[in-house]
Amino acid sequence: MIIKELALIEGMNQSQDIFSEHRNLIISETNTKGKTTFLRLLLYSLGYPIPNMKGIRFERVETKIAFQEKGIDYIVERRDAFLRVRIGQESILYTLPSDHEAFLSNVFQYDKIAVLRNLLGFLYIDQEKGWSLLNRGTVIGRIKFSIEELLSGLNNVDITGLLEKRKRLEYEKDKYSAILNIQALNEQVYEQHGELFITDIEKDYSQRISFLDLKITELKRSLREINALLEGEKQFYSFINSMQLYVSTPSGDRIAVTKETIENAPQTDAYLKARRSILVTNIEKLKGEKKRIETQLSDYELKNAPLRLFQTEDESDSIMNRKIAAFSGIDQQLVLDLLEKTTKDLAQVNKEIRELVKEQNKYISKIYSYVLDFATKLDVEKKMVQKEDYIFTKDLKSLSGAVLQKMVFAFKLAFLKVIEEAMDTKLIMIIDSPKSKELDDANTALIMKLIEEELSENQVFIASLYEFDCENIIQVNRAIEAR
Amino acid sequence: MKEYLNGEYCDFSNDASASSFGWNFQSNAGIFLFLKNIKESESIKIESRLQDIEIKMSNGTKILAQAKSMQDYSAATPSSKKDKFKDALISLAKFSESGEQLIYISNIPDTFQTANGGFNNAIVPYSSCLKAIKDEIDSSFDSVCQSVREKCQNEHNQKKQAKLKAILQLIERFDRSKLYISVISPYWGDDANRYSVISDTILSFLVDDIKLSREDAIAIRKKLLDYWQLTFQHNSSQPDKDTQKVISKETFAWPIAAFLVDDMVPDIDDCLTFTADQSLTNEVSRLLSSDNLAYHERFEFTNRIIQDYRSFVKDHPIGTKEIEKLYIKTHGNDYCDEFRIDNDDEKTEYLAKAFIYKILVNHRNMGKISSGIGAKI
Repeated sequence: MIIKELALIEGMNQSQDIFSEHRNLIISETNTKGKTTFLRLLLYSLGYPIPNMKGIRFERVETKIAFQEKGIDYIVERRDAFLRVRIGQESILYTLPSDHEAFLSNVFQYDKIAVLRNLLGFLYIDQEKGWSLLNRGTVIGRIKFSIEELLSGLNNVDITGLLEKRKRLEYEKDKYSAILNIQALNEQVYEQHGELFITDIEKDYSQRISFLDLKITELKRSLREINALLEGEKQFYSFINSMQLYVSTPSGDRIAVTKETIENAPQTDAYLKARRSILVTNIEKLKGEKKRIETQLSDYELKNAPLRLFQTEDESDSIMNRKIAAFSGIDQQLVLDLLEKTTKDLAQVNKEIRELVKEQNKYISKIYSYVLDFATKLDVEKKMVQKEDYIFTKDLKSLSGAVLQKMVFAFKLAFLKVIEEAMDTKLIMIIDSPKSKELDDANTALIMKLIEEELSENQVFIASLYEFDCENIIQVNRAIEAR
Repeated sequence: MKEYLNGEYCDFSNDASASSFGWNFQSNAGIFLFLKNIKESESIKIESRLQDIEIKMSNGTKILAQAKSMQDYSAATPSSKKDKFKDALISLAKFSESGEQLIYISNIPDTFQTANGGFNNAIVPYSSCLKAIKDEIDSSFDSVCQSVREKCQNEHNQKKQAKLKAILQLIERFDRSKLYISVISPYWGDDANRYSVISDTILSFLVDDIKLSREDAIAIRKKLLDYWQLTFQHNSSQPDKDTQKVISKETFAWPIAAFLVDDMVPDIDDCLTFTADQSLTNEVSRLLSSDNLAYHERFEFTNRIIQDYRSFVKDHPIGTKEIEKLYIKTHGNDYCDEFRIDNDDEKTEYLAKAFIYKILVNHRNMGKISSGIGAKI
């Protein structure tokens, strides 16, 4: 992909920039001049859901980007949730975010959606989190990337169900750990303050409140799952609607294909919404019950307040200590057992994901050899564990400062190379603030040399306060301005 | 009756008693009336701009109902009970042209001495009442007219006087063929007694209209009652400008399907390729009753199962329940990859087949509900 031109309009402000096919430097003399905003607008113009930044609301910006991919020239205009793509005289309208994957798939002429979904994580290094993420995490806003999904996508294996399950188990593990932490705190309060004379009535109220809290949390999690599912369905139907499909019947009638006319679709949708409605009602019911018990508890505490007047702690601390001391309703062994089971299940799911991802996956060794090569060039290969599994590493603690930054770059570049081969294209790379944090001149020079050698046929965008040897330099004072 | 004749109420707006018992009765009366009319209706609003309960019918007409209740009617005087009816008449009269059926619904079985208990758990038109009952109702109308006339004469404020005159005209012109009377009784005391009629109405609706088995209907009626009560109480607090206020009969009824499969433990032992022990059955039941499997309820997957099942049905003309199980036995293993769990083949197969059974049962139930309520989908 080669981006030729980007035009931005926000109210009275306009900008138009032409790019080099090689390296483009977006530079400003001081910070907060709009370099990052400019890069994010570039991604926004390609349909990505970019969160607003201070002083700019992206949905108010009209963008027009011209690029070439596999010899075809595209002009793409974005207005909020609409993306109009022009190819010569032809024009296609996409609705965002539901159609974004379809847009990418059409442009790259590539149908492995899991790969396209993860693309941004490997071609964009954000100035904030980007330099600390090796192979998974949040790219920006709600856009995430993961090595597992990418590799399964490259190898045409569906692991969506397992990823969902992992998310659920991770949540449960956090929940059980949090309960154990409160219990530890409970013991600490006991050690420091002795027995706080919590009456059975107070304990009973507190236990009932804790129980309701657990139930509410549980239902809210279920609600999130149903909402996520409904959102996915909504995007699916919106995609169908945007396709403007019709079916011709033998009697000559034309029937539009929409959610309403697809067999079983309205029923499934209605059923899921009913499930959501029941959950919402139940949450409200439990909240009401909790409020009622809380009122009863505070009435009780108020009536019995004189008994505690001689205590010396300040009032809020005292209330907090009493709440913690009253937390004894959950069987610690049970929570420990649940935590152990969840940890085991999680390990099993991770194993299954890894096994599925690794099964006959030729891309792993390719990525590993690239990472090793680039890490050697960046002088960090000694920090690697010398086996293919290393590309899945979650161990970021052993890497810090400049080493981590260089390793991140080696990883991104390695993934980019492999994705490019699979997609049969050359991708752009966007690097925000390479020389910052703890990267000195010598290390920055190593990264720039690698860019020169390995990305000589790619278009690269670099945002920085410092000058680098680039074919095109864009000096910015504001992201959108006449330059 | 004083309630509707004071100055504040002369502005033709409608409001209900603030007591929580009254709110509670209003919601339950809404459930009762909606269930009795569901096939011919489209939607309902509780505490609408027009009345306590407003039901829109499929033919475009409306049922408007005034709900009046007394927490302990046994201690009330006959005239105070009659006053409730008279208040309702004034309110119904104000909107009599908007409604095809104007219902007075209460929890007081002896408002009319000539018809003690005669309106219990039914919706009786004025036109079908016996002569003595009609006379008693007519005398209530006369009494209301007389009271309004007197109030009008004593009113010195011209604006208020004009409003009272307008009310008088509306009551005099009240088309009694539109008037219906209904009583929910018993409706007092603890929940079990108070909700016994509504609960029985739900049961009849599920068995007679939706055609559920009695066991299934009994299993879900309490959950449905709780859910509908909360939904209607919430609905009553929403302003009538809000489009969300309208509860369509479909939105009202689909939770039946969700409750039916909620705690379902499918009996699919015959469909498995192994003999499941109790611990595995318990584990699968736990998984099924959690919401963690929501992902598998997406349209793309559900539709694949239903279409596959339909093709299967064409070639196997046997009874519904038998064919569902035969399908699961024959094709259930094709979907194991969707449910792979803990690298455990038996658990995966059990879960996959149980879930597919749930999808098929759900599909069957949605069909029953749809025809039971006369829904469009």
